[in-house]
Amino acid sequence: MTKIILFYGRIGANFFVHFYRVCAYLGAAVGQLRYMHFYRRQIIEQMYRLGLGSLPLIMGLSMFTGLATTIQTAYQISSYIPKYIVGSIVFQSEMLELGPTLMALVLAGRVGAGIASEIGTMKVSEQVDALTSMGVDPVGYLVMPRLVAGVTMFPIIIIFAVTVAVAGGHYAATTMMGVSTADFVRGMKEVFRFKDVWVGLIKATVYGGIITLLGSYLGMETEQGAKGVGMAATATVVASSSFILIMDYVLTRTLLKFY
Amino acid sequence: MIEFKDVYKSFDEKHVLRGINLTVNEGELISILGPSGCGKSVTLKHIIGILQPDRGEVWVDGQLVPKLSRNELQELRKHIGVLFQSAALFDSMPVHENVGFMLRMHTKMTEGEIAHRVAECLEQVELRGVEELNPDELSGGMRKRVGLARAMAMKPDYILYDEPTTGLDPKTAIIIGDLIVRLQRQLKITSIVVTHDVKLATEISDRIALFHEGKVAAVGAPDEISRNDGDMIRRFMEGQL
Repeated sequence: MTKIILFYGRIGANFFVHFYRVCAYLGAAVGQLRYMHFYRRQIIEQMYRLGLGSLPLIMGLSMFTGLATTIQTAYQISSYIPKYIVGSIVFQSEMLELGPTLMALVLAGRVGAGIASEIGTMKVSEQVDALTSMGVDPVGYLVMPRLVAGVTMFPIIIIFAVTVAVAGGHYAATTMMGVSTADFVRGMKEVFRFKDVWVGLIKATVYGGIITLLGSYLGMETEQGAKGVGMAATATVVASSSFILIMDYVLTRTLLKFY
Repeated sequence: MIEFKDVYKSFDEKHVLRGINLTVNEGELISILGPSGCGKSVTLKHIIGILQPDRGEVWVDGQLVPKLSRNELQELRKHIGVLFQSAALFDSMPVHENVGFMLRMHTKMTEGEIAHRVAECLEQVELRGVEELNPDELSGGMRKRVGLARAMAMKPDYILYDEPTTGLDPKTAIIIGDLIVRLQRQLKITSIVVTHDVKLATEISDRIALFHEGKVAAVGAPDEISRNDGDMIRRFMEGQL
């Protein structure tokens, strides 16, 4: 019994230690925002890599989520429900949930693991120490530009993702489900509220912050050479995905209720 | 001038530095010699404030390093060049960006001026035509030389060498040793070389500080050390220290 308590106690204590350190990194990165002009080259490079670099993958996958959502919606609704509802459900589920959350899970793998491996490799090969020794703050040079790129580019990626997903949904609805374009658009118009767009974009911003911050933090904490780099990448995907799903609940509940 | 006054440093239960006292005079080349794990590299990291002592004082040019503010520390670091054991070149940048990195970050030099200074630094370490190469295209010796060119780019007052010849073949190690001496003589840079290479230390140093069990066991000119502490050096070379 004592061993079990100690085991879970250690896990709990580790969680709070890491949570505290992540908050400290966030604070340090926010503090570095005043040097944004100084690190503009790094910020633009990261925006390009994280944003434009992810766009083809995300747009391709979004197309399939749109197709699948439409087919499933059409399957679920009974013949008594008007078909234009397909457009409503596809749009709202893509904008509020599937677009930001599902794509954030994909980005946790592509972007988060990439950041953790890159910074982790720099850490174990003394490149982070080299930065420090050259009078350059590693948080300012490595973490802040990625964080800025994450929170600014992820919402843009999600706009593209939702647009492509809805286009995919329209294609499936009109070619496979017998829904006319007019009905599909009518369905979308009936439920369209700017609030939903904002909720989707706020979610994307928060997820972008989570992925880039956790990737950077776990990369900076890497030890034990190549093994440590692999562990940091894995931990980033697991931790980011977990936090994304937890924050999905928190944001959905909060934003839809009060916003 | 760099001074260590009774510096202690531990990592968890491991006591690495146990009261280091050492003075590095301006313009001299001093080697810190000792077996692996005796705290040589840890000592270097105290100079640039990457590590803070648990006890004791580290002074650089009259400034107490552990008490410096973040900005003061960054200012101090601009005057200290470091050659890391692995050279620590930024692998996402070609050689010319690596060497010009500090110039871009800390000066208002134009791209033309930076390119000129980069070429000058590479010339000093006897490397030509490598500006566009990436670090993974360089040999071990070339990486060290690029690392050294990068350390020199800001015309520092001090250069810290962390195991400069480790992992190099004997011929390249001699070239690097000669380079360290030549740069120190030409540029009058105060140099600290951390090494376990007794031959290198005795050939290039003005003074040697022999580390043993986290303390400075002996310090003096190479011939003085071999005369008075020859037994200790012999035991170190035989792996008994």
